[in-house]
Amino acid sequence: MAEATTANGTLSGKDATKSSRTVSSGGAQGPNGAGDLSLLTAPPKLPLAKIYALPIPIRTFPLPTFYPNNPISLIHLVIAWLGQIFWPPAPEPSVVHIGFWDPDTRSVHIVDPVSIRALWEQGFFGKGSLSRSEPNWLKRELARRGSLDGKTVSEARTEQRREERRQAKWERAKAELEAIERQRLAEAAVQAAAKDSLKISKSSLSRRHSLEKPSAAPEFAEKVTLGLPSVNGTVHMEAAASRSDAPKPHVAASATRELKAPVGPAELLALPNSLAELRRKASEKVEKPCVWKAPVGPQELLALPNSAADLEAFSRPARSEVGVSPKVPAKGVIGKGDGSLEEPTPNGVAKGISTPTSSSNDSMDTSAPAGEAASPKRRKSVRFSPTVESTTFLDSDPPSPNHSLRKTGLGKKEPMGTPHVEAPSEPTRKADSRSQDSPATPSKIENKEHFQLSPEEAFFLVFSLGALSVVDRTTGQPIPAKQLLTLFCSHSYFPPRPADSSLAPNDPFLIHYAVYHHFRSLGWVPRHGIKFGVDWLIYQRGPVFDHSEFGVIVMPSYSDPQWERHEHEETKRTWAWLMGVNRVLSHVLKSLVLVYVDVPAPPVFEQAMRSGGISEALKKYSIREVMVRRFSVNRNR
Amino acid sequence: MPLDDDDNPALVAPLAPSSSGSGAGGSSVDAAAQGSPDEGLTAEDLLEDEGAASQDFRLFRKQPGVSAQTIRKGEKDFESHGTRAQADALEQSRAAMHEVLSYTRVHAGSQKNVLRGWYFPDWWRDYEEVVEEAGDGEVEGKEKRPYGHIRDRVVVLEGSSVASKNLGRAVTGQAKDRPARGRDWLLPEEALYLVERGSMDLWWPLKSLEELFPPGTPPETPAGKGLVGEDDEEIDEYELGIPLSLQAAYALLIGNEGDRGKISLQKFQVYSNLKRCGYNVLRAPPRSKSLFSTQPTSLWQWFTNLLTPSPKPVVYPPYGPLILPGLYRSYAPIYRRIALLPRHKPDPNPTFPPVPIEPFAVHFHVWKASQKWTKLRHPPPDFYLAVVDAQESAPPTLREVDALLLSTPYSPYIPPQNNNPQKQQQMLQQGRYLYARLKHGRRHVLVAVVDHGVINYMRFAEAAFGEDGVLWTRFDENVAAAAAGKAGGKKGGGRNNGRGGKSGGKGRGRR
Repeated sequence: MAEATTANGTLSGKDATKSSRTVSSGGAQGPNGAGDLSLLTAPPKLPLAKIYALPIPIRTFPLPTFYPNNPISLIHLVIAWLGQIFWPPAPEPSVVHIGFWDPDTRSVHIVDPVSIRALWEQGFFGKGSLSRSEPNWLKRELARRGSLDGKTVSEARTEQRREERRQAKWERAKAELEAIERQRLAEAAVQAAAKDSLKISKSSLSRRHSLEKPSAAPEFAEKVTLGLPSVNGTVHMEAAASRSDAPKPHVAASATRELKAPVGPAELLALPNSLAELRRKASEKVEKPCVWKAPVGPQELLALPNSAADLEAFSRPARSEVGVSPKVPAKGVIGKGDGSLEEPTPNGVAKGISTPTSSSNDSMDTSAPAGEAASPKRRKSVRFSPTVESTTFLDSDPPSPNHSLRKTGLGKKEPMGTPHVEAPSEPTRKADSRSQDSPATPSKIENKEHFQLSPEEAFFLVFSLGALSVVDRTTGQPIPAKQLLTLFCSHSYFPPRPADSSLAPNDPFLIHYAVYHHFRSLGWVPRHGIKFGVDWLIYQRGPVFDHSEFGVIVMPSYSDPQWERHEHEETKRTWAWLMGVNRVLSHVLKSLVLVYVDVPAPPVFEQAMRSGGISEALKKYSIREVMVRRFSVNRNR
Repeated sequence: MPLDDDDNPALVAPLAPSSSGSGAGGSSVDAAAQGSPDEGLTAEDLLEDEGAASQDFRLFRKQPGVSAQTIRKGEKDFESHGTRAQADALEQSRAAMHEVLSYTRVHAGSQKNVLRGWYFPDWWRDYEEVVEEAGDGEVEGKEKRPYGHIRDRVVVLEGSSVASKNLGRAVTGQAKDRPARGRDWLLPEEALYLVERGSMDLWWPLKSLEELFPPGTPPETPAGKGLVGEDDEEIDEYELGIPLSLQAAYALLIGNEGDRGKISLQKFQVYSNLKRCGYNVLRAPPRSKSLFSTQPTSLWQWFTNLLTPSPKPVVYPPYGPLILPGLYRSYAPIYRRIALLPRHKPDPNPTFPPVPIEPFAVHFHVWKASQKWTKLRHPPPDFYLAVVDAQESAPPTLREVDALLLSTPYSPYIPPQNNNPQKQQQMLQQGRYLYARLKHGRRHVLVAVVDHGVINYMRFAEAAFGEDGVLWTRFDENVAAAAAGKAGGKKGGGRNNGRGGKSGGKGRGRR
């Protein structure tokens, strides 16, 4: 019996994996769809080292090497040299990119796609506004709509890895559970044999006694089994799920059940938390006829469901009621639709929060865990919307009010009175048709993503390399570097200081720029590290090639004695803070670097600014790096 | 994932070779004095080791000679799942734990193993100790003795034992008629450590030191022998003094920072923690200038320095761009030009090292457990340790950390031994061991952060990105390799190279 369980479990696990793969590969596109998409597939892949060859947006023109044993190489060299003399390449940096200063987001926006690619590929500057770092929203969107293009996008890979990890964890939990079940069965068999042979009444044995000497009391195991479902079941949701159909601990029955992986958060939430809840749900099924009302009063708001599991129990009667309730504005639409309201299937991807069409004959407690497991795609549930037209949102949707790029199926007409009316934009409407397996062409999708450079990156490109020109949106004129510096400095405070205020040496922007410039000038790729609780992450070659090994915390230091006469605020750090940062970083296998920036005193700074501008003033900042690591006495002796 | 990374079995260093010493049957004094982790695990070791708080006691029972480090914890059972196997395992563990806990701790019975220390706080109050210069000992051929902190030694040991191999100090150079000549004197932390371990009884003397240890008696004689004379009458030892409780020992030996003959609670906690973990710990001597072998610049050096012109300062446009438009044949001139900020150059021999600012000063010298270590002859310390209070101090400022680091010797990264030194040199130049070198730093120091008795050790190292972390030297070949169509550079290959592969399961969420 146990073997059968294992086989079933493995099969179902594999099925789940397969289905998740198909789903994550972008919708209902079958394996045959690849041929149709040959026009859309990406150009042949270049090696990464070739795409990201340049460390900064400046090209170099090395002369060919001369080999003394190969005279032809001399000719080669001469030709190249003469060529560069007579037809000199454009002076580097040959391309000056255009960026727009956006004071609201305190960043410099780049909109030209060529510049975006160039800045990202040549030094990993900036980030896409809708992406984690590399601007690939369009690619992801294409992939979501069925193109094969975007599957290599890092976000998609992360999602896939997470899915696999969830699956693996579930498999492991299932294996553990099965081992326990086997053990329990074996023990039950032994116990039964013992009972048959002994036939002694053991009622005199107290339970406490049996706890102390379990080997002497074979009924112990049975007692624990009986007490189990009411006592716990909170931690192992799978355990609860497997037992949910059998409130009485009939072991053999639950062991033969086919298990499916409840991997998504919604499914996990949908699992019953305790036996009590399970019973409550079962009883709720009885009081089915309830009338839907918009939850306006405090009583109704309080009565709203708290979890997805509750929500399901709550919303099922509501949905069946929706067709007749006069209070729902979408009533007419839903009424005249194809009637299959229970299949919202917004984009052919997610099946909606499992609303089984045949809810009457399907008992609640079994359908909850098993039915939900069919669609492991991530989604978020909307709780308080009285309409059911859109209950899922995808991560890749842009955060715009007309979010319903993926509207419901083609057969449905747009309801005019629904609260979620979207702007009737033609391209998006066209793109909706991809729910019928027709792939969208990229020209129809408008790229809604722009590229943003942080002030430090922008100033490095302007001031150090001269490869960027920042333009004021209102005037359309490029901002000179001097003005740009005061602009960035004034915006490093909140609220921004007036633009004409004088520069202070301990300005947050200047301090961070000093660190940024320091690491850039050594060849490292610094990127913002707020996701890891640090100021900067520094990469050896770039986020595409390797993980960053170091997280940088900027520590302004005022060691110049002249600072005592000038007002300044020293940031107060505590040991607890440092340990926390270090702990977070060591969990992601990074090292913490405290970068002390010795800030020049105001007289020194002003003197340097007068004599040689910011180039001279930056020379007065000195940088010290201190590696910090936790030392374990147990491991170093 | 274990909460504490000490518990990660993958990271556990291989065990040091076990000494063929006394094992489990050894005297407790012996174990106390050596404190070696390789000793057989006794019950008190297990109870005292903070890492052993949740050990699997069954393992302990099975293998009495095993070190605490090799005992690993299994999978946690979060709930009872009703099988008898689980209940049996739990019961076995309970029984094992009861067995361990019911172990009766006995002092080694024979009289000679009982240590007695007498508290004489003011005996060495006016002693003047010379800060010995580092180079002196070898030059004059006499044995160099490390600095003794004699003024702080407040407890005199009666008799000699194994403990005096690692702890205490006899004050040499005393006249023959001085009392208690040749006896070992303990620092407060040493005495308190022994008392806390139950290896020593601290006594409050009712008689003077001259009466207890009359001049001329050999160091082995117990106290009071010379006092009553030669009659064989048994003397009442409570006439000499009274034994003190552990509480009294704490009251006498723990004090504020800077009190003579006392030690702060934080420092004692760090000291005893390190001792129990098997390290050898000594108080750091006061700073002496000669610790830094300053090499004065010779006249010739000075002369050549004067003659060679300092490099002409590069003139930059005030507001950039720093890179002048033009044709560049390599990245070297570009990166040299944008090197604007001064970079830190670690100085192996600082001429005027700054004075450390308390509490960021080296308080203890720490050695790893080794067989050769004695209190008088030992190699340079493995670690330099400062003790700070988590509540009363903050992460160090630049001046504090700079002075602290400069008070430790220069010790750059030594790459792992390779049988081909030329190749090794080449690899060093190619920038191998980049991360290892950067992380090791040029100097390093430990800071024990004590928060109400919980100790967290942090290692601070002086990194030199300006010297060890220069990356642009590789850019030209990277670009050339990419142009030639190869996967250039060290890490250029493989599309999926950077992700998840070698870091295995732990690389989660890392970017």
